[in-house]
Amino acid sequence: MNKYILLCAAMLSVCGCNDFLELSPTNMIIESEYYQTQEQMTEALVAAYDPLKWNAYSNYSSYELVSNILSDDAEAGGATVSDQPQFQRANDFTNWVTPTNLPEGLWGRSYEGIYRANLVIERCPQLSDEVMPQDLRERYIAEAHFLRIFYYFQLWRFWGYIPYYEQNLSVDEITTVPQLQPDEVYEKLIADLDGNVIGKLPKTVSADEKGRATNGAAIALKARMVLYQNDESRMGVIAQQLKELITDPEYQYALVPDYTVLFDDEYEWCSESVFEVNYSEIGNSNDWEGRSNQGNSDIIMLGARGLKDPNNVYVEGWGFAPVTKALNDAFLPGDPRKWTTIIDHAEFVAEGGSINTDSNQYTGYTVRKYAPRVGYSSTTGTEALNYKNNYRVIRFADVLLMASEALLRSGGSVSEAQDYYGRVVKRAMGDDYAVPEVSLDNIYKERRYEFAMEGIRYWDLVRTNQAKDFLPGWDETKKYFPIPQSEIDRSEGHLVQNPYF
Amino acid sequence: MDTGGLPVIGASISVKGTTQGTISDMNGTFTLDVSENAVLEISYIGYLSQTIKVGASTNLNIVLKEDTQALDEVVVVGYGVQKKSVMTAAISRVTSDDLEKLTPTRVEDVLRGKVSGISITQNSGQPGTASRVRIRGTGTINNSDPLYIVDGVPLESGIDYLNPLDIQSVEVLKDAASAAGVGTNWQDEIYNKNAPIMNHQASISGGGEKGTYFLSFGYLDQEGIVQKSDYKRYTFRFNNTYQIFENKNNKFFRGLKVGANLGYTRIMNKGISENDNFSGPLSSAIMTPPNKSVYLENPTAEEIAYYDQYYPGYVTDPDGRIYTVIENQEIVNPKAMLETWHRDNDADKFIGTIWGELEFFKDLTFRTSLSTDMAFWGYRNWYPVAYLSYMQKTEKSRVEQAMNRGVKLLWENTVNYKFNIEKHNFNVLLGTSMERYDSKYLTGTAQNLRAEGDHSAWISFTNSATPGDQHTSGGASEHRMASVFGRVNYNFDERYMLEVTLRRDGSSNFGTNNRFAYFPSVSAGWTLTNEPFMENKPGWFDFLKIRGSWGQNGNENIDAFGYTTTMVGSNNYTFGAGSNGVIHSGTRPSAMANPDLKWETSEQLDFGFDSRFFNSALSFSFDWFKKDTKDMLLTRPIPTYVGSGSPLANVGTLTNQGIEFEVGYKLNVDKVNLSFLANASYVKNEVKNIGNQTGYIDRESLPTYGTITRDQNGYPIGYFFGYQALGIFQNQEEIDNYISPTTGKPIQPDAKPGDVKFADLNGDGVISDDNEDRTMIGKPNPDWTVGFTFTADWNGFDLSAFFQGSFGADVFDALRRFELADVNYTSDVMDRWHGEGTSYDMPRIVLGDTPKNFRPSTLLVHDASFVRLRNLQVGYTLPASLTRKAHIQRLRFYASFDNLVTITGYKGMDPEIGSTMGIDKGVYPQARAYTVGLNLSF
Repeated sequence: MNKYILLCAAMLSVCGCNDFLELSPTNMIIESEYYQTQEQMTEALVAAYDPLKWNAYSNYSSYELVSNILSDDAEAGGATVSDQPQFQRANDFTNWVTPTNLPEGLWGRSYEGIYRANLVIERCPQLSDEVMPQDLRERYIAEAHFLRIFYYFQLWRFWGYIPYYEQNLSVDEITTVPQLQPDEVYEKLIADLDGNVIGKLPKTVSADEKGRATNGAAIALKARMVLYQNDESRMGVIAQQLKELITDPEYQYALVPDYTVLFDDEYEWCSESVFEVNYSEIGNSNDWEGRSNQGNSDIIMLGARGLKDPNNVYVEGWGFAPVTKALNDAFLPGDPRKWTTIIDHAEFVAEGGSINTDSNQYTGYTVRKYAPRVGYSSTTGTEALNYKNNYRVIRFADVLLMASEALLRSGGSVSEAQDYYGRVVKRAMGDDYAVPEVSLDNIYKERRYEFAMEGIRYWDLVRTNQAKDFLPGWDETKKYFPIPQSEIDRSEGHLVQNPYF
Repeated sequence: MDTGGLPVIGASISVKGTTQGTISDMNGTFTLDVSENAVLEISYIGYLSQTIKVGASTNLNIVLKEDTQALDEVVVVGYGVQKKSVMTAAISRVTSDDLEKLTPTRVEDVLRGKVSGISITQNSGQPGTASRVRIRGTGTINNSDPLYIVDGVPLESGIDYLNPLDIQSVEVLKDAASAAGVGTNWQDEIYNKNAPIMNHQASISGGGEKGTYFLSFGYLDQEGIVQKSDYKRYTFRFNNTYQIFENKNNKFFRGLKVGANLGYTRIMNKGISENDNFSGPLSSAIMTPPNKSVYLENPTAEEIAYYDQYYPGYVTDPDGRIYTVIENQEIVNPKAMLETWHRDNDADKFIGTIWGELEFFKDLTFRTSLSTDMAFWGYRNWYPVAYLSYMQKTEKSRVEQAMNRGVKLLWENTVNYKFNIEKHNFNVLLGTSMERYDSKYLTGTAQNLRAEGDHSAWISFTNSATPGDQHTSGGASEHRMASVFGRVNYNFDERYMLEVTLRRDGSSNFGTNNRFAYFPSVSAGWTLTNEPFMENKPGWFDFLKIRGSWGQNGNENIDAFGYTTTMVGSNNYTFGAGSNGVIHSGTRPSAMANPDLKWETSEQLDFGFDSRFFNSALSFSFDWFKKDTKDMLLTRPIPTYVGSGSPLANVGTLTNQGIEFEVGYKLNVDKVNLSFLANASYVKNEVKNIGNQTGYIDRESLPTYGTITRDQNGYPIGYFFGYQALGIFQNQEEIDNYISPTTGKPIQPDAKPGDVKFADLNGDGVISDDNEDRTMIGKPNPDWTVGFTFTADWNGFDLSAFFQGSFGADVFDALRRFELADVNYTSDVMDRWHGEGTSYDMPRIVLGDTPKNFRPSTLLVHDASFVRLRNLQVGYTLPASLTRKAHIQRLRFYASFDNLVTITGYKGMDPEIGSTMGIDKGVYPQARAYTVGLNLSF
């Protein structure tokens, strides 16, 4: 009898074995064991840059594309009127977006960027000097702040009344995170820029580091924010800070004399470049979900449908953001920016090409700056996902015009304002051109010509109170998108819909 | 021998009052040295036992009669067999005799409609695809597939390796008590005019006193009804048992028996993608407009030059004819697409068990078994340079190869002790089980094949000099489980029965907080007809047993490491200008962690009864059940502003309740034997608590349609969510008169005659795009599933007909992609509205659907109820007296017809849409099949 009791006990004890069930991952690391070395910190920083390029994410949520569609530079486009309804709605202020039908992906990609930036900000200081030198740590932390501010900047402009946190949320904090007013968000971001970014980033980076945040990018971003907020109290400060970028030789910024080449591949990271989102074709991506693409998926969207080019320069696309006739007609005669911005279909067809005219909201014009071109994408991955055209987020021309405007608005030197404004005009129209006298109105007109189809026009219209004049159906209630209903639901009612809606 | 004159192999013959005994051999004969007064007891499962006095004769001819009562019928349960009469659990059984009547190629075919409570829907008609099997409703939101256990081995990787003709019997354990015998693991699954199926099976079996064996080979070759899809399977099986020694006189170590079950299968198939309305040959075939021809007919030089310039790499067929290029985003010339498709999959599977059983004390048996399920599978797909359309072109030829290996090892030990105290019979089982699964994989792709062709398309035969042309990935994963369990069976005089089970299961999928969990179950039964007060029961009333059970099972079928968070890569960004550009790798945590993650529990309550009448000619069973799945393992949705992935959590409860019936009737009229068997089950499925504040989660959404299915508290799982269409506006007056009581204005002022009239459910006077005007418009799971089998045999002829029906399921028609302009419609569009009174249910068609007539609404939801004559078979068995002369034990010819008739209102391809919860995006339809064959046994 005893024999078999022992046998049973032996069998049973074998299976009580907890160790047998304790596994560690074969090809993964657990979070608690990560963020210990400089290499891992670098990987974390790169992950924070990653969402900058997510244009195919969640129904093609691109900051620039949506900004263009919101403006009077472009319509929504697409194959038919039901193609990407969130774009159709953003384009039409009389049939406006709703909490369940809006470019929601912009919200998600921004917050993922914020989460990853916070990880760097939280973990980097924990490394000791032997593991990672102090100056390098500080640069990483400043870059992470810059990125976080950049993502919040987009959320602030598109939504305004947003949940704001500077440390990642725990499970309990999900339903208690503060939702701030737009003005409060603004103050937080300016304070963050002033305290943690400006002065802590390098003025220039080497060729193989292009894409990383620089001091110039931070100052220019601050200027954009101050101007959008119409914060008169800070106009003087940003005028001075922008002047640094213009006059300090260490920055090496300069306008490229020929506007027409600015958007060619050879002119990425040229002297005029202050900040770009770096895309490349070497990823050979096939990822339609968008996260791992290294290419700019907006490019294929901006191509004309059915385009066939006998000269083999341009390639057909999906017909989104067709350029408006109003923009085409706004340019002054002799302005090379018109040709650089727009492909005129009538001219294109006259030269032997063909284009479908039955796409949605067909205008006869599509953008040239970011049109898909032969040789600009990968030959091995899915072509649509691998275009290498960088988005020029901030150009030196904008620094000049912002400085000019800030000087005028803060009562600074008018001659300097005239000089900076004139440089932009003359670069386009020629050195002999009679530059008009600088004024806010002239600056705003010049901005339209200079930054057409670069995702800037809509924000200029809003901040200068001209939106209702140029955008039919626009009013103050359209200034902010509604908070996505799914977010309100998942926050279990903690988030409140924005009051405009 | 039996009543048919066939030898009974393996019958047990014992000499009463002694320990002497033997087993009949392959010829049914046996030899014993006994005295004249000896009394022999002869027994064999399924036959009535006999007691025979030896007497003076030295040769005895004994005929055993089949036991039609099935009282002694034995059922395989977890860890052993039990007599069905004393079982308290809800179990249905299909035997090899039933199996013979069908011409199954897959195991699920065998179960369909034979057993109440099982719903088996074909995922598709593509050869080799699994069916979706649900026992008593859809049990959980993540993976509801049942656990398959073959010869004691729980399967890891699917049941399609198994040749159904190798099966002796299949038991379906439906309630928790029956399933409590094992831990619940789960696992996953342009037409040819006459696609042939070839199915051959040969087997040999035998045995003697010392042991038994079974050896079989099978070959199946099935061509799909859509071109480029077919399936080949080779199976081999060898089972044997061997009695090493047996000595009933010992006190200890009274007998040792060992055995091995070994099976090997090789599967090779070519497949196409299906149920995808975005692209794919089936949906392309539906959506491509008929005004485009398949080939360029007599192309001119200009046309060819145009194709050369703008469609470089256009596809031709083997005769050189050029396929028309159809530019419609992802929808392309389907024949051209099939021409470019080269996908080969293969798998080798080896399942084996070796076991030993030692009786080391009277009625105390120790059994140990070691099993393995080893699978090696992979694919080779290659794509030639081809231009199908602007969106679907391959500029560099490409080949992908993958090889996977997965090995499961299972070690189980049980101790079983039987004892009686007068009329109290006990059976105690204690056991342990340990299981590990290790898998690894390697995949690679390379570009630029040196030559395009099936024979040479391999990674090493490419010109992939450019970095990025080649890519490899590989990895490994592990999974472990360990359990301890005990079971006590008690019956008193075979009248009152009780079974109690307790398991403690542990899984590597959970953290130290909740690694183990306990799962109890209890069941009881009462056989009224054995009661003394039933002694005078009417002669036609044979048997009545009532039973009930309650029990819990656990589910841990999630990805590993859900309780913590792992770092994932590929969060990359390019730094560097121009040629200095380098992609830097980025890493982040995959999701929020949840260290409190624990087992999902399924709790089931069951009451029912079994009855038999008229000498078992009529049988009737009934069950009521309620199955609650609690703590469902789901990703808990969190707002995206958290910026990280959702954690896995135990959220939500799902309930399935319903009833099941089984009725059987057998009768003999002259020499004709008839039998009728019907079963029906009704399941009501309801999400009790989805686990979040809002009470719902959007499930599936399609481009342009938006969300179309939802899981919501109080509703069936995956229900269709959309607008209610009230009819078609026939004229302007109707539009003007459709006024909202709240606003006093027309609800659809922009509508034109021929547009759909939608219900304004929230009464705000507008048909809005958000969810306020949407409601439940259908559900994918049926209410009733029924099966009916009729068999008849007379004088060597046999006939069987098997019907299957499903009622109450709906299908959502998602075949069209509305955002595209030039897409074909299905033929019912010919009845569309084109003037007053011309149609009341099909609106006018507008390019791009600007009036949004095709919003997800009741217009797109169709009743998918159907009745199908699943199989009709006629056969003839030559008389045994004739065939015996050629040493043939049995020769039967048969003709079998599958899916002969389907009665349904659904106008799509096939009302059985198993795989994507009732959404038809271009499903591979099932084929009607005609088979002729023969069964031959020696």
